[in-house]
Amino acid sequence: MKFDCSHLDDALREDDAELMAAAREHAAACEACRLQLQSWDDLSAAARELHHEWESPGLWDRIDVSLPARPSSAWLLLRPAAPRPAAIASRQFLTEQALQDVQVSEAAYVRSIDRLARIARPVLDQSPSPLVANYREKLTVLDAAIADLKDNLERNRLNARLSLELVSLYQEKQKTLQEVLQNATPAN
Amino acid sequence: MQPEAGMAASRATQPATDAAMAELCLQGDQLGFERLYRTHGARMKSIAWNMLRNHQDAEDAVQDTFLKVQRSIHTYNGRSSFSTWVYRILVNTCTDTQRNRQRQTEELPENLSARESNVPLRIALERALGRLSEKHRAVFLLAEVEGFTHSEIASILDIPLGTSKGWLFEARRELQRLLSAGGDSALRRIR
Repeated sequence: MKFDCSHLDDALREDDAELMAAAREHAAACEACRLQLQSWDDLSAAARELHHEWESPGLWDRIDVSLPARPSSAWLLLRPAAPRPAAIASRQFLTEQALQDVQVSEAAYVRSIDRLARIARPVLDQSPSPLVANYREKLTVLDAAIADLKDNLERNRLNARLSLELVSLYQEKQKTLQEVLQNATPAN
Repeated sequence: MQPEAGMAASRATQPATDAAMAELCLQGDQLGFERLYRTHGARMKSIAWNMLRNHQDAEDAVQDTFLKVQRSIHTYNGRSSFSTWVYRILVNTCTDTQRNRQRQTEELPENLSARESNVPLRIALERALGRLSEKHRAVFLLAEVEGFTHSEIASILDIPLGTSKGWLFEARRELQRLLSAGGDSALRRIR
């Protein structure tokens, strides 16, 4: 097909590489089509400048806390599909894959509690009430105990008793944070 | 808690395939959503900003989109790519916001970047875009501003590929007409 001015709209509409190449070749010798293509290109160049990026330092945290934690991501005893610590203890031949499953579940559960902690933090940091002071103290003790247990578990990854204690500490921390949010949040 | 937080942050920035992100999100794993944000957040914000012309509204729309993705992830059927499906939710969210909007629109900052070469045309283009129909504006933004292919646009807007091409052509023609109106063409002025 020999490209002429009547084909220009088709080329622009189809946005096909071959047709556009033919259009540009034709435009080299046709002033009207050259101007039309130039205007088309200017519009594209200006449009690309409308892409707009800016820093939103708090946006991911805002999204993260607003996404409700899914029960299915709860760790160990809270996740039926995952191997239970008691079973782990009785089965000394725990596979590496199963252990990884537990660790992934643990990480997801810990992230959920971290999110809860971030929501509760303003109340814990700012409230002068004795009730909140008690919660603060309890959470400090729980965090210290969790850190100790995790150190111990690092040295003995298959110790079922330690795993169960860690689960129970995390559950206590979760319960405490929920109480903070229910009982100590100022009414709007 | 620090070690986990650090580990989660570094895992979230690892390159993730579309399918892997979808799988993580489907499992309810927060890491999937974080990777989605790290991979597509900037583009999502830009689309939302261009549709809503307000930074706060744009960030709210991105946040709403993540909530909707989590809520409806079980309906994702894998026929389109996961990110395309997410962008579809974003565009619909922005369209809803446009219809119920409270905040005023903002101008794009003057000092965007060093690559910027044509501020008068850009400003004229922003204004002209505001006069396009919803469908023409959406196709133009996705194709020309954000660089999506017609096949991706067809999937995001749930339209046939030929319709995407047709709407883009019509949008550009209308923009040319608006920018050339009155004989003092922004397009001509820059040459």
